[in-house]
Parts: sequence; C-alpha cells; structure tokens
Amino acid sequence: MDMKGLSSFISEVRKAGSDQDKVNKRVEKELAKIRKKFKNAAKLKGYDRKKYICKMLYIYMLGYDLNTGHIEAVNLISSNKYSEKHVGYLACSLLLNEDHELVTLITQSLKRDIESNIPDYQCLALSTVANIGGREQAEELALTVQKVLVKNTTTMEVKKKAALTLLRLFRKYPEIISPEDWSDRIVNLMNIGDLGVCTSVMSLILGLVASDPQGYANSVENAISILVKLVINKSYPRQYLYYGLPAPWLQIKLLRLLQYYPMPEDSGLKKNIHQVIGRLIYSVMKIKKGEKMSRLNALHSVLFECLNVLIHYDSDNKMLKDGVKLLGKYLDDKDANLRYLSLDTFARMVYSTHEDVVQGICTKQNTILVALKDPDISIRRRALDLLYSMCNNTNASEIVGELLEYLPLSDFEIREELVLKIAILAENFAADLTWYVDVMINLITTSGDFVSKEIWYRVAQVITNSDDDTLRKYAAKTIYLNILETSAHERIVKLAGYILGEYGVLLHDDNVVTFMDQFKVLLTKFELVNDETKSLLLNCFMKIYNLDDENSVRGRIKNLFKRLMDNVDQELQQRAVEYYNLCESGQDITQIVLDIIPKFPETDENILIAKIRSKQKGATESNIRQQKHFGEKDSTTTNEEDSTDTNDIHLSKQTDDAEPSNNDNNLLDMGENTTNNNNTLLGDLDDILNVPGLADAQPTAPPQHTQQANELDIFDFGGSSSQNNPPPQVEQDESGEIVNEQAEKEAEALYENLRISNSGVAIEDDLIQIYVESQFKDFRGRMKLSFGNKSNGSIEEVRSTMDFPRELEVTKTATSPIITQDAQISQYVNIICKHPFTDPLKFSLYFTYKHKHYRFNIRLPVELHKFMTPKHFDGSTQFFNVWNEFGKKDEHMDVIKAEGDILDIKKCEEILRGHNLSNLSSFDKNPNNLVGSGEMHFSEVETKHFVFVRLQTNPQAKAYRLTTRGDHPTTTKHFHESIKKHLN
Amino acid sequence: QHNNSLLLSLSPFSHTPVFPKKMIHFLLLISRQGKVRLSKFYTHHATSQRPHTTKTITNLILSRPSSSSSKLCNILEYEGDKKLVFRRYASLYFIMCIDASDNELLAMELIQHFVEILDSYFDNVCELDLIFNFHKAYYLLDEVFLNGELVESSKKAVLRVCYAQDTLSETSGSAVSGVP
Repeated sequence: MDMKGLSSFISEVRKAGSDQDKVNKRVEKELAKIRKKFKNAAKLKGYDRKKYICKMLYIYMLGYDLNTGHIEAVNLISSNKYSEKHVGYLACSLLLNEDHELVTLITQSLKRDIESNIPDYQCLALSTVANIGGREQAEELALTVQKVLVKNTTTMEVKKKAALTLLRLFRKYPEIISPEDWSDRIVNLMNIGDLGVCTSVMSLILGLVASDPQGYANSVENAISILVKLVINKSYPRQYLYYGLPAPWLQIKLLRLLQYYPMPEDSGLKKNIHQVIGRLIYSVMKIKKGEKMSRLNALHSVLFECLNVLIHYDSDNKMLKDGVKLLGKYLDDKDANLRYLSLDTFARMVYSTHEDVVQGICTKQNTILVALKDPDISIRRRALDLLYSMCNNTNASEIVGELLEYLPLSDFEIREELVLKIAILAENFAADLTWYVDVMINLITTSGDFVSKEIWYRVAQVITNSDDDTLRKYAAKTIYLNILETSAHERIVKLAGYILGEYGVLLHDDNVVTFMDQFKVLLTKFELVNDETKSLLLNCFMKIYNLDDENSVRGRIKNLFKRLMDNVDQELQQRAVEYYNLCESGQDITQIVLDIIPKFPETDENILIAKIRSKQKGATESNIRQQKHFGEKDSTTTNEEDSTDTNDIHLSKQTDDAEPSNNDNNLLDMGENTTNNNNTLLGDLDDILNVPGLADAQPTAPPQHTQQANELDIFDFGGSSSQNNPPPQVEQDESGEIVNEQAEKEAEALYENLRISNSGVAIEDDLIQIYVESQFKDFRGRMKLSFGNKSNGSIEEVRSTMDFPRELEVTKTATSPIITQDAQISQYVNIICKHPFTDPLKFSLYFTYKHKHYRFNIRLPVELHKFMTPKHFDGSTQFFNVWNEFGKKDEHMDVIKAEGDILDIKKCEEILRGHNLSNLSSFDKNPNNLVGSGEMHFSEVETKHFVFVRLQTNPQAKAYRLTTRGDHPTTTKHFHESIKKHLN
Repeated sequence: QHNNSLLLSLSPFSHTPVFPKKMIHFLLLISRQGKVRLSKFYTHHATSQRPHTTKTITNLILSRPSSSSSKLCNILEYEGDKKLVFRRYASLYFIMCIDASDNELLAMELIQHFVEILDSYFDNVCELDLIFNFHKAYYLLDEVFLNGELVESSKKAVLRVCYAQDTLSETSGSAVSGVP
C-alpha cells in the first residue's frame, strides 16, 4: 500500500530542485522530525515506523549520512506484518554492511525467519543474508541455510535464494562446506528441473569449483547434459526464452564450468560438447541483418564464452579457425562492443598452440593497428594489449615501429605503460641488438617524461651485459650523436653519462669521437640537469679522466671538480672533493676504483617485467595463485648443499646453461631465482624489492647483494640438520612430561619483545634454548625455530605440535629427532593468514633427555600486526584527509597515564615500527606526536584492511593519547590494544 | 647470431585464464543530472566510501561522449581488474561493475532484463516511477539479483513473485489499519 507522507516528502524535496540549500533545509527538517518520532518509538504504529524508515532511506539515497534510525529498522524485522518486515529487511540490507555492529542484533531474527517454513519470510531473510551476510552469519546460519537448500519440501523460490545465500556465506567462510559432505547433494540440485533454481545453483557451484575443482568434478557431466537439453534438444519452458535464446545466462555459466576442467576423456561427452559449441557458433554465423540488439548481444555473449572454452581446450583447430574468421569480421564492425570484444578475445586466442590460428590473427595486423586510432579509449587499450600479445619474431620490428609512431599520439594515461611495453618487446624480439639500441634511444628521446627509471637502467644493463664491444661502441656513438643534436631529455643525459663513462673510450681510441668532444657535449647539458644527474655525470667525467692517458681533457675535468667543491648540494660537493683528491693521488688507486662496470647479475627478475606487473592490477589474482603454488614448492624443498654459494657464482651458471623454457612463466612468477638454490619464498620477494643499484651511481659499484645473502642465510636449510627423518610417531602420555614452569613464565616476558621484533629467544632453560627468526610479507610469514642443546648429553625423540586459529594456515617442516650435545637443529613454520584472527599460535616441543620426557609450551610471535604492510603517504595533507575520512568509522581512543616518565619519542617510534606501521613522524606539526598507517592483506578476504594510528605524547603530563582508526573492527582493535600494551 | 642469453629473463608472454569471482560488484542507476536513483553494492565496500565511489563513477560515465551514435562501446575499464558496463535508457543510466574477465555483453543484457521487468511492473516505467516508488524498485532488484548474481532469468517468474508480495503487503497492511 502506498504511503502518502512519503510521496509528499519526495515531491517537496524535488520541488527544491537544484537549490542545494533548500534541499538541505527540507531534509534537516524531516530528519529532526524522524528523530523526535523515534524517541518515543514505542508509541509509534507499525505503519508510521515503516513510513519514517522509507523517508530515511530516501534521504540516505540522496547522499546524506544517517546517524539515527538504524535500530528502528532492526526492530521492524521482527514485526509479524509482512509489509513491515519487508521494509525492515530492505532498510537493513541498504544501511548495514557486514562490519556494522548492529548486524549482530539481527542474526537471531534472520535465523528464526529462515527456519520459519513460511516461504515469504524465508525469502526475505535469505535475501538479506545474501546481500550483507558476513563471517558471523556464516558461522551462525550456514547449517540452517544448507538444510533449507536441500530439503525436499522447500519451495523453488526459496531454493534459488538459499543457493545464492550459501554462496555468500561460503565466500566469507569457506570451511562451512566440505565437498565430501555436500558435493553430491549440491550438484544434484542442477537436475531439479527448474531452470531458475538451476541458474542460482550454478552460481553456487562455480563459486565452490573456483576454490576446489576436484571436489566438484561430478558437475561436469550434468552441465554437459543440460547444455544438450537447451541447445540441441530445445527442451525448456517458453518463459526462459530471451529474445529467442534459451536461458543465455545459464548457458554461459555451464560453459564457464567446463573451463575449470580439462576436456572430458569420455568420447560421448566430447562429442556432445563439440555438437553444442558447433551449433552455437553456427547460429551466430547465420545472423541476419536487422536483428534486435538484445538478441545480437545474447548470441554474441554465448559465442564469446564458447570461444573461451575452445581456447581453454586448445584442441579443435577447425572451430578455433572459424572463431578467428568470425572475430576478424567483427574487428571493423560498426558495433563498438563487438570491436572491443573481438580484440579482447584475440588477445587470449593468440596464445593458442595451433600455428594457423595464431597466423590467422596475425593476418589482421593492419586492422588491429587501425584500432589503435579508434575514437574509443576502451578499444584503443584492447588494441594495444593485443598487439603486445601477438608480437613475435616475424612481426616485431613492424609492430614496434608502429607503436613508436603511435606513441606521441597516445593517451597520456596509457603512455607510460605503452613505453614500457615497447621496451619489453624491443628487448624480447631483438634479432639484432643495434636495432634494440636504436629503438630504445628513440623511445627515451621522444617520450622522456613517460620513461620510468627502470627503462634506462635496463638499457644500461643490456648494453653492459652484451659483452660485445662493437655494440657498445655503436651505442656510445648513437647516444653521442643524439645528445649532440637534440635538447636532450634528462633521462637520455643520464644514459649518455653512463654509456660514455663506460664505453666512450672505444670511440676515443678509434678516433671516432675524442674524449674532448664527449666531455664538451656532456658539459653543455650539465647546467641544465638536476643534481642527481649531475652526480652521475661527475662519475662519467672521472672515468674519462682515468682513461685519458694523453691528458687531452684531464685539466678541464679537474677544474670542473675544483669548481664544484663548494657546491651547495652536499652530494655533488662530496663527489667533487673526492674525485678531485683521486685525481691528485695518482694513477694506482684510480685504476682500481674506476674499473669498468662488471656485468649485472641476471638472476634478478627483469626490472621491466616487475614494473609492468606492478602496473597491472588485473593480474593480481593469478599472481596470488602463482605464489601459493610457489609456497607449496618451497615447503617441500629439502636441504641444499652449497648454501655458501655467492650470487656471482650463480651468475656464470645462468649465462651458460639457462634454457628459454625456464622463463616462460616469468610474468607471473614472483621473480623466481632460477639459479639460486636457496630458493626461499621471502628471499625472492626481497629480490624484487632490490632493483640493481644503478641509481646509486657509485663508480663501479658492484650490485649490493651482501645483505640479501644474509637474509637468505636465515632460511638456509643448513647441512647440520640434514637428516629429514620423520619425527617419531609415538603419542606420549601427557602425565609423564616434565614442564619447566619457571621458564615458561619467563617466556611470557620474552614474548612481549618478540611481538615487535622479528628475532629473539623464545624460551630458555638449562637444557634447551628456542630461538625464533621470522619474516613476513603481505599475508605470508615464515619462521625459523632453532632448538639449541645446552645440556650435557643428547636430546632425543624431538617432536613438536602446534595449535593455531583456523583463520591461519600453518605448516611446519620435519626436524631431526636428535640434537647432540652443543648442537642446534631447526624447524621451519610457514604461515598464511586467511582472515583476521585473535587467537594465539601455540607451539609445544617434546623431547626426552636421560630417559625423562619434557615438554615446552610457547606462543609463537604471530599476531595480526605481523602481517601489516606500512603504507606511505606523499604528504601530511593527504594523510590527514584519509585520517579524517576514517574518523567516522571504527575508532578507538585512550588516554594512557604512565606510571613514571613516559617513553621517549624514539622509543615510541620503535613501537609503531614494530607494528609494521609506516613512521610518518614528520607529518604531525607537533614533534611530540607520531602518526603511522598500514594496510593488510589476507589471502581470503577480498578487501584490504587499513589501520591509522596517531600517538600524542605529553611528557609534562606524563600521559599519552592513542587513537586508532581503521575500517575493520577486529583489526583496529588489535592494533590499539597491542600498541597500548607496549606503552604501559 | 647474437648472444641471446641476456634476454632470457624476459618472457612476458604466457596466458593463464582468470575467471570472474563475482558477477556484479555493484549496480548504479543514475539520472543524466547525476542524481542517484538506485544503488546497490554487492562486494564489501565501506559505507562511508560509497558516496565517493558513486561520484567517481557518475563522472566517468556522464563525461563519456554520448554513446547514442554507437561509435563508442558500452564498456569502460575500471580500477585495472574491473569493468563498468552501462546502458542508457531515456534519461537514466544503468551501470554495472563486473570483473574484467566476465562476459560484458551478457552483463549488458542483465541490465536489459532488469529494465524490462521494471517496465512491465510499472507499466511503461519512467524516472518518476522509480523516484516515488524507490522502495519497490529495490524489492524488484532483489528478485532479479542477489549477492551480485542472477536469481531468475524468467521475466514471468520474477513478476509473479513481485505481484504476490504486493498482495501480501496489502492484506497485512489492511490488517494493521483494521486494528483500533
């Protein structure tokens, strides 16, 4: 029934039109009225309550923040009038989200309604859970929803909703459904005969399959038979025809399911798939002119999904070719969506192993190049992507040439990426490195501002590592001529400084360009570039000085150093002084210091690939998948012998025997260090973070690997613990074990320290010491536990157990069962944080010593804040804007009185850093205040959690004020309490 | 032949299929003046972030050159791994945010499907219907999409449920007014 009050309110707001003041006034007035009414809510009639809630919703939709009325909405849910309940649920699902504190209040009402057996109530409650349910609902309601879903007497309407609700709950809390128990029952629902239920159930199954394909493999056969029914037998109720197509959404879900599995081996099933896809493609081929847009879209959407299946199987050459032919026609169709989608699909098809399919796409090269100039940015992007994917040895020079030409016309927002892509293609498909040098110098010259530093680093690396003096000379000459003729961009000057410094001598010796000329041209740029580039040029001059035996230019260089010795820039000044003194000191030292740059290690991931990946957020998901895979591999790695190998040794190995196939997956790898035997996960992550140190521009600085090597050392599977015998499987009687309570008490205090540091003693007594070292990155952590034998004999039957919260995934490696006197063994623990957690990770070590059984219980320092990644901001305004934005949400604030003097500000900084928050001490104007922030990823939570902390200290009052803000209650609370603990 | 070994660490070319995780991340209905007529977020989105997101997207869509000439496509890439698919009906834009790997044309037809249901229910729907009966529009929406997934693709089945709900509301409503 209609609500008059609501309609007239809406009319009045509309009358105010675009006059924002008037609208505000009217809304404020109404809100005041609603607040007043709700004060005496008990007296309100159900109808009025419903009306006011609707008004509130309208106000909310206009973009106003509501601070009242949520509770009234919650109350309406328990009304036994359908219309009131309906409004109550509507308001809850619009105003609340899974983190809202009131959600807890409605869980019981939801449960009651779902169990009520009244289909209308069940539908309302299920819809609400499906829209806003979180982890708590998953825990409380999953079983109820499952029961409703499979119960025979449940109506179809309710089943549809229950399936989608279960999908929501599963995503929030995957453990609620195990394939062993549910696979058959859920898959059977596909055959229930109602296409609506089938559609919803397919969404659920696709969600389940995505996380565990094997568990639901029985769905494939069903999917194929339904496809046959719809497409071949044409048996379906008429109401499911959409513009003449039977249930296109369902068809697509079924086709997508097939893509999670390899092609069925059963020849009957294979034939069926073939028939279905053939029929679908055929129906697109015979499209007539003038068909309705919706019909065309539906037909094409099914076609694109069919092609995805074909791409996935990559077996049916003929149909793939038919697909290429069709899409080829669409490339210049007048329908922009078709142009877009055919480019998009081609970019996937081009990876086919069928040469003629790829060839078919390549023949369209000219049409695709035209698409680069399409008026639509979406299409231009796809075209660029496709050209990048289809590039090969044959067409590379043409495609790169076209892209270079297109570069100055390209959109600003994609230009940086385009530059990167050209650089990658040029390197990957260089038949001749002089071509590569030409392309790169051209690239840097024409689009200097869009050239990220990684690009010129890489050019320098490639030229250095080519080991080919002809090429080096060519590069030196080309770049010399380039800067001679143009008003060179900063980046090209840098590259020139590097190249001429290293290889300018080749030009000089052959009398092509003398040192004097090289120096002169660089000097003309010197005054125009920034201090960083100037420093780099000083290196170059010093190197020229060193090689200039005939003293042709030494005098001028020395004069330049002398002139710069009082430069205001500290770095420049220091270099000038040092280099001047080097000049004075004579030849011997200079030869050593200024030796030619050695080759760069190729063990690191190509910096361009790392860069482009960081730009492509779209790849995130597959990255994670890859990392997981990587983690598994890691945990099964056994001890390696040559742990003392240095990177240099690996280097020579790499260049000799690496095979191209090793690197096929490089884009997705976390920079897998193909030659590094100590191939630990975190070590590799570090590799990515350390871009080889060209930026430092130290003369002949060899890339700094020492620190990295140390970090890898932590995770050495060292020789001493080499026998990976399985631990004894004997279960010991609990009562027979000796526990050192004193040591465990002391361990509590040690734990406090470990909470904010990554290594230290966890527990110690006369017999044993446990030492912990750990590293965390995003949602992954790795810990090394070292057990040192301090006793006078050997410790035997060593084994350990763990007890951890279910939000974590924890695995440990095996240990040696014996620790001889004074020896030490290690155990590694890998942790993946799936969801926010609060419970501790408990670890117990059992062993026997002189025939007595011992047990040591400790907590491993794994808490939420260990998985934090510091978040940096460009400036304090930016920080405080975000800070204020988060102010309205979850906030914890405490004033803490210290017992004596408060901690010194440096100490406070340490605490924040220990919590892995960025230290932004300069952002707060008051030097006694600190701010910091961080973001947190979980392997199974879609969104990041943010935490912002502000710590104000007042030494006079001996007090702190700690404010913590964030967007997730568990996380925010943890940080607040944890920091507080350290301040007390 | 050049020493190719230095190029080996470069092999960006591989293809791993990425499947959409979710059908619809959120749905927006926006007037040509940029007023929100309906909005529903299916992926976790802090409530305080919603107005900001809505605004960004409104600007993105409204600033795109008119698509009536059909020169431009109905797809906009968004936040790297998502796409906006939108359609204009008279003065209203229907916008859906989907995964980049999802089926765009079908998403466009999801919009059409929803619009047809609105049209039948309101008997030639216009913007005013949606303004004054926004709560009903939300009811309809829940019958078509739940948790960002399609519930029912039969127009008839959806309408039948909606009419039944109305009857139920009427009767339970009159029961209220019957009470003294």
